[in-house]
Amino acid sequence: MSDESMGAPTILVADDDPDLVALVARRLVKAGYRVVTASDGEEALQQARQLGPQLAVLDVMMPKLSGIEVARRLRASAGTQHIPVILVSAGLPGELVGQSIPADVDAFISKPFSPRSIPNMVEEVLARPHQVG
Amino acid sequence: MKAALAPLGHHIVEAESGLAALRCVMQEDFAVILLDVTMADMDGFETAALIRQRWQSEMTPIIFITAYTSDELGEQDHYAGGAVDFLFAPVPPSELRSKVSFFAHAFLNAELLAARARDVQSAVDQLRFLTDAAPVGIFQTDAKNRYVYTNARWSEITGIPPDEAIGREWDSIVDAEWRADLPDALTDSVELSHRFNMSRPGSEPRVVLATSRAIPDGVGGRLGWVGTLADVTDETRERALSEARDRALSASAMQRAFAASASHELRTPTTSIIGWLEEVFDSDTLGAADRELVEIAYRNARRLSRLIDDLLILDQTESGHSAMHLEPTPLGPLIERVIASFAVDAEHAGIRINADHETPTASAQADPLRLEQVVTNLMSNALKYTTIGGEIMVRVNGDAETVQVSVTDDGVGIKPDETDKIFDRFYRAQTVADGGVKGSGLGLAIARAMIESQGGHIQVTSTFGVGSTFTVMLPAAAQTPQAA
Repeated sequence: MSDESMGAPTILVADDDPDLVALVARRLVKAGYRVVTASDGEEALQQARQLGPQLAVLDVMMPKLSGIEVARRLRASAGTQHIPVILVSAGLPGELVGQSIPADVDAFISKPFSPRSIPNMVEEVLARPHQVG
Repeated sequence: MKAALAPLGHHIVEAESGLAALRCVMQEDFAVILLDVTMADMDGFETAALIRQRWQSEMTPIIFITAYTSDELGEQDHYAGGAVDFLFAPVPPSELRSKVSFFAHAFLNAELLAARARDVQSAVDQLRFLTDAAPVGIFQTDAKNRYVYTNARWSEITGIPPDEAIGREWDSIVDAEWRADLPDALTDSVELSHRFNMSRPGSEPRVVLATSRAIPDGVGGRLGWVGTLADVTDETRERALSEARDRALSASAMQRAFAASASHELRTPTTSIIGWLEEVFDSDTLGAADRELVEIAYRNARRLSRLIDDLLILDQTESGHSAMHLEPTPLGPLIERVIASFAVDAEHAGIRINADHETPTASAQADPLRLEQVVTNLMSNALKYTTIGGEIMVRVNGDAETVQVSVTDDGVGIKPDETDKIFDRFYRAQTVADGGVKGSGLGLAIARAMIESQGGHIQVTSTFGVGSTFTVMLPAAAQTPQAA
């Protein structure tokens, strides 16, 4: 993709709360990322397939498709399986135990979180040596 | 004479004299007695008089046998003396047999009737025993619905003696204000059931249940009613209690489900509030005065957020939705970690924290993260209620069965009547209510829920004004054989 050559990785931020999307997007943009957004699971999947972001920040509880389901479908498709996923949960860390979470979700964030921490986490996940296909 | 009677086949007893006859009468009952008027020691009439004096034989028919003619027997009323008949010697055998046969028959009939009467009486006794011993009131009314029969239990329930019950209107036992609600007992119904209140002097009102069934007269009418009366006061109260309990339980379940989804819904906006406030903070153009205002909003947003977190944790733990991952958890390192995390705060507050590793190897079968959370809550609590110069002691001890972690402070302590309430949600000891102590008010409730769902107990001992000790007791981890 051309994004990488432009030096600004694209981050997909998906949450059904627009204020929260704006907040995370603002932090990421300040940190130098390009941001695309989605307000439900289907839109997130569509954006990921069309735009091929370098990373996706997905809320677990979204209309139409949950963040977990989006992550699973990204993994299942050759074109998107390399996209790292950060899941955002409004429950407690232990809440996701027992649900079918793709083993290779790259990080979790629990609400409430400080948006200050988001760019660092994104940077850290992107810096990991990435397994592709 | 005996030979003459032999063909009848009856049991014949002979006596040689009046006295001998009396002895026989004392030994058995006879269908008929034949007495010779002329006997040596006492005559037949004297003997009869004596026989008559014994109640067993006072009704036994006596036939006198005499050689006299009826005129010769004199004016005396021998029939009043017990004679039922006279036979004049020489007696023709056929006449003797006929008379004896008649009385023997009568005697046997009387025996039979007496036996039947005994059977009937015993059936009546049995029925009365049953109705009187029955653990339910039993009554019968006539066509006008007045009592004609009530059993012992009926009297116990109503306080009305049986003889006063007979003739009363059936509904006279029903409290006046309930009488209007009774279905009309004289309707066409065949079965009726009423529950009503009944007051009796000297005791609280009872709730009773009367169930009755019509007694048909065979031509389409009714002879009355037969029914039962039961005191259902306790059952009624029990049922009311149990219904109230069910309502409370379902309300509590709904409340918990509500709290779970509410916590979820609340987290997104608090994240947004905290995040946007941080955006304001990080703005280069924010002035110092405004920064202070935002600081207050930020602090409170964080507090609200912690409260929501605590509610969700408590909710999950209490509802059993939070799976505990039990494993052998060495307590020594755990409390040292917690103490280290409080080191800065404690120094700041001028409070010393000491550890007493009484059993250094103590290890609990517990969820390490949750247990650490609990000890942290207890420590945070101790720190809040301890004043400058105070001391907090954390102890670890245990045996093969149970291990304990206790946190002792020398703070304000808890009043005795409050020690069992402090584990309740949002309960704050009165003594610190206006002390400005901050927290969600859920720390101890969470601690208890977490410890109990790990199969342990938490308790507090406290002396008001001296300090408190919170003790967590957990099952000890199974001992693993030590490598030599």
